[in-house]
Amino acid sequence: MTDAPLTISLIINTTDRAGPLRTLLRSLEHQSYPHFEVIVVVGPTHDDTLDMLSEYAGRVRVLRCPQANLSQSRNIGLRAAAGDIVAYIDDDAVPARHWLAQLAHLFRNPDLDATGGVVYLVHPIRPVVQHRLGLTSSLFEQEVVRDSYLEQIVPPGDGRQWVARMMGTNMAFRRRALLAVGGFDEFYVYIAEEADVMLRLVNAGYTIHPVRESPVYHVPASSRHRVIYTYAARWWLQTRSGVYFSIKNGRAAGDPPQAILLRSLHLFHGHWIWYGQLRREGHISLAQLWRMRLGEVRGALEGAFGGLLRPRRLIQTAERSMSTTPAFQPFLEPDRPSPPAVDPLTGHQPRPAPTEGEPLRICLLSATYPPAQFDGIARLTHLMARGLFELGHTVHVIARGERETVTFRDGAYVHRIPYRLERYDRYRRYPTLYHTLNYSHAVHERVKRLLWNDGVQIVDSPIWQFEGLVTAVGGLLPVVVRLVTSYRQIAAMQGLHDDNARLMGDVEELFLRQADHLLPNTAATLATVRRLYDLPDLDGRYTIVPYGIVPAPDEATRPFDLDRPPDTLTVLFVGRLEQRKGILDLFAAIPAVVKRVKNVRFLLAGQDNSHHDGFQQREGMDYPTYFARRYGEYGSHVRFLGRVSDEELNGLYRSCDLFIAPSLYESFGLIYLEAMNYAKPVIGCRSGGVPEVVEEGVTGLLVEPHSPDALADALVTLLQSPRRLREMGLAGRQRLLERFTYLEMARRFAQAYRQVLTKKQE
Amino acid sequence: MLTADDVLQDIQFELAQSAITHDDLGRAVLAVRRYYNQVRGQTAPSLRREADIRRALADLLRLDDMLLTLAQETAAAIQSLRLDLRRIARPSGPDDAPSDVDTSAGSGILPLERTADARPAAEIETAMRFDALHIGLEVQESRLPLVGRVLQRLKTALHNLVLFYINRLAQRQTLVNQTYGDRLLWLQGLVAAQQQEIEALKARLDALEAQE
Repeated sequence: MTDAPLTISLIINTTDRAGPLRTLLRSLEHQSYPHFEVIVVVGPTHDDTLDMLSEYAGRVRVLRCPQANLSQSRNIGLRAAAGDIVAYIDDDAVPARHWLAQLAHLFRNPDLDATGGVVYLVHPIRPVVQHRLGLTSSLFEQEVVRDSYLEQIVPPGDGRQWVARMMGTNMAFRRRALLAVGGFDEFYVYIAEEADVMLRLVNAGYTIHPVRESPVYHVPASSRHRVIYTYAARWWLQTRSGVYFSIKNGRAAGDPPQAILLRSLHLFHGHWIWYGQLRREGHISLAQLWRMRLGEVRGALEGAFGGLLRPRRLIQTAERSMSTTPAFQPFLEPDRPSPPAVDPLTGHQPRPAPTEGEPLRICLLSATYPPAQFDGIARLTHLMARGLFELGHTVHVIARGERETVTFRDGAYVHRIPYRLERYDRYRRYPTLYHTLNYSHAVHERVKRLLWNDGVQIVDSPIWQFEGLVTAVGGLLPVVVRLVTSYRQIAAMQGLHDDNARLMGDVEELFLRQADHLLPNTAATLATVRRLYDLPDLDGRYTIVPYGIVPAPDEATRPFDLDRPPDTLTVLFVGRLEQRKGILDLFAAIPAVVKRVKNVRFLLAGQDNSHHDGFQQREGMDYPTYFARRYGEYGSHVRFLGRVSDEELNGLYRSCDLFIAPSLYESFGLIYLEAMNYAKPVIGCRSGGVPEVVEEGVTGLLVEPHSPDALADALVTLLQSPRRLREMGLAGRQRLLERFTYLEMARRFAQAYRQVLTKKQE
Repeated sequence: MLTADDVLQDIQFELAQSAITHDDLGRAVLAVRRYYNQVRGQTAPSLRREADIRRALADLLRLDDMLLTLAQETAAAIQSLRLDLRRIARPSGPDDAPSDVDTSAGSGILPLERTADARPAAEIETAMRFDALHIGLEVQESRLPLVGRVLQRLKTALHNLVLFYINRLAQRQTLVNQTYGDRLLWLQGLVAAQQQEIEALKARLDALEAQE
C-alpha cells in the first residue's frame, strides 16, 4: 500500500435538474477530502444546466450523453475518470461532509473493490431511511434497509444468489474493477443497473462491502421518468429492467426457468394490479390507467426479449485498452476559505459578514422539536438553529422520534431518533431517570455518527433531562449546557423530595460538572444554579447568552396611538394559569384597577394548569371558576381565552395596550420580548432574569413578587398615562432590536462555542 | 441508595460495552465472503457440464449459508456472553427486588447477601478462565464426482478460517473478561474488608452499650 492519497472521480449524471445540481455542487465545497475531481455527464437537457455549469469552468469536467439512459451516462463518466476510485451520487442528493473521506479510507484496504453508505430520504412529509445495508438476489428481489448483516443472515426469497448492494446515489468502486467487468449494462435505462453491477462484480471475484455510515441526504427531485409527490412516472421501465435482470442474472446463478418466469410475471402483475388500485382511488384517469398498462406490456416484452436474445451492452475490452487516462482535475481550490452552510432543499447559502468568522458545525440537542412539538426548549432550539444557519454555520439537531429519519427544517438537519429501554436496568424504579439515561445514550450513539460523518465540532444540550450527559461523560466532543429551568429547581418549587427527584437533581449536578461550558440565559439563572448545585469554581466556564426572537416587521408593530386612543384599554396576560405565573396576584389586583380605570379589560391567554400545580386539589376548582366565585362582580372586565394558536397570540400582542406577566420566577421570560416586539410596555416582577430583560422605568415597570397592591398601582400608573404607554412600548421595541433578536442570540452562542473549541485545542 | 456516582460508573460501563468486537466480527464475515467470491470465480469456469456447474454452485451456496449462519451464531454467543458478564459485573441492586420492598429499611446498611459477595467467586473465576470457544464442525464427505475433492478441501479451509477468526474474537473477549474479573475480585476483597470492619465496629458498639 502506498502512502499517496487515493484520488476519487465523482461522477454526477444529470438531465434537466439545474437547481438540485447547483445545490449539490455547493455542498461539495464542504467535503473534507480534497483529492477528488467532479465529472458531470449531462443528458439531453432542456434547462439551464450547461449555463450553470459554466460557472464551474476549470473545476468540473462536463461531458454529454446523447440519450436519457442512466447506465450509458454512468459509463461515459467511468471512461473519462482519472481517479483511482469512481464514486456516484445523484444530482438531487447532498453528501455528508466526510463522505469522500470515509470512502477513501475504506478503499485503503486493497481487498475492497466496491462500497457505499446509507441514504436518508429528506422528504418534507414522509422522511425515511431510504437505504442502509441492502441485498439483492439474482431474481431482483431487494431488501434495502437492514440494521446489520446478521439480521436474517440467510436471505428470504427465491433467488439462488444474494449479494450486498448499494444504492445508485451513494456507491463507489475501484475504477479498474468496474472497468474489468465492463461497467454498467446499458440496457438499463434506469433502475437495477447498480444491483446488476454488484452481481457481476461478485461473480468476477471482487469484494463489495457496503457500510452503515458515509451518508448521503437524498432530496427527491422530478425527472423525465418521474414527477415527485405524484404517481406520474414511467413505471414500466422498472418492469423492463426487472424482467431483464431476472433473466440475465437468474440464468447465470442457476435459478430454475420456472422461478425466473414466475418472478417476471410477478413484477408485471404487481404493477398491473397496482395501477388498478390507483385508478380506484382516483389518483389516475382511465386513459392513464390503460396507457400505463400498455406500457407495462411493452416493458415486460422488451425486458424478456433483451434478457433472452440480446447480449449485454457493456464497455468492451478493446475500448478499455484504447482509452487514455485524462489529467486529474481537483474540484476544490487550495486554501479555500470554509464556505457557509447550504440548505439542501433549496440550495440557499447565506452570506454572513466576514466578521462572523469560520463557519462551525454544531449539534443541538432538543428532545422536542417543531413541527411536532413547540414547547419552550423546542422553540428556543429552533430559533437558535435558524439564527446559526443564517450566520453560515451548519446545524444538526437531534430530537426524539418514533423511527429514525432526517429532515431539513429552517436551517437545520433534524435527526429524529427512537430509543429503547435496553440499558441502565437498575434504574427501572426511577422511571424519569431510567428513560432519560436511555435516551441520552441513544443521543450519544447519534452524536458519534454525526462526528464520523458530518464532522460536528460541538454539542449543545439543555440541562433539562440532561440529554447530552452520556456524550459529556464519553468525552468525544465538547459539550456545552444551556441553563434553563432545571429539574431540581422545579422539584424545590413543587416540594418533591422522593428518590426519583433527588437522583434527577444529583445527575443534573453531575452533568454540570462533566460539561465543558455553561450557557445561562441571565445572571439570575447563573446565580440560581450556583445556589442549587455544589459546583466548583465556575470562572471562565460560563457565558451569559440572552435569548432572542424573530423581530416582527416594523409595519406589524402597533405602538399606542396618542391621536386616536382606544375606547377600551386592553391588558394582556399570557402564560399557563398557575401559581408560579403569579395568576392569584393578578386576580387580586384586578378589582383595584377596575375601580380606578373604568374602561379597562383583561385578556388572559393560556391553559388552566390548576390540576398540576395543586390548586384544584386545594380549592376544589380551577382558576377561572375561582375568579368567577371570588371576584364575580368584575367578571365583565375579564376574559379567559384558554390556549391560543401562535397566530392568535400574535394578534393579541398586536392589539393589546399593555402586557402583564407577574411570574414569581422566570429564568428569562420570552413572553416579555414577544410583547416588546409589538411595541407594548410590560409589567413584571423583580425575580429571576426578568430585570435583565425589562429595563425598569424605560420599557416597563417591575414590582416585587406576591405584591398585588403594587401590581395594581403599576397597572393604573401606566393605563392612566397614554404617553408612557407609547414611549415605553417604543423603547421596548428598540431594546429588542438592539439586544434580543434571534440573530444576536445565535451570534453570542457561536462566540461561546468558538471560545470552548479554542480552549479545547489549547 | 443509588447516587450520581453510580450513574457515572454505569454510563462508563455502557460506553465500554459498545466498544467491544463489533468490527472484528464484521471483518471476519467480510474475509469469509471475499474468500468465497474468489473461489467461486476460480471454480466455476473449470466445470464443463451444466449439471455439474449447478450442483457445485448449489453446494457453494449451501456452504455460504452455513458459514454465514455460523457467523450469526457466533455473534449471538458473544452477545450472550456479554449479558452474562453484565450480570456478573452488576451488584444485584434494587431493580432485582420487588419494587414494593424497601431494601434499605433498618440500619441503612444493606445486608451482605444482597450486595457484591452474593456472587460466588467461582463464577468470576469461570469467566476469567474462559479462553476460547471450542467450536468444531462436522465436514461431510462430498459425493460429487468431479469437484468432490476440491469442495472437501474448500470446506475444510473455510472452516479453519472461520475458526481462526472465532478464536481470535474469543481471545479479545477473554481480555475483557479478565479485566472485569480482576476488578470484581478487587471489589469482592474490598467488600470483605468492609464487612470485617463493620463486624468489628458492631462488636465495639455492643461492648460500649454493655458498658453503659
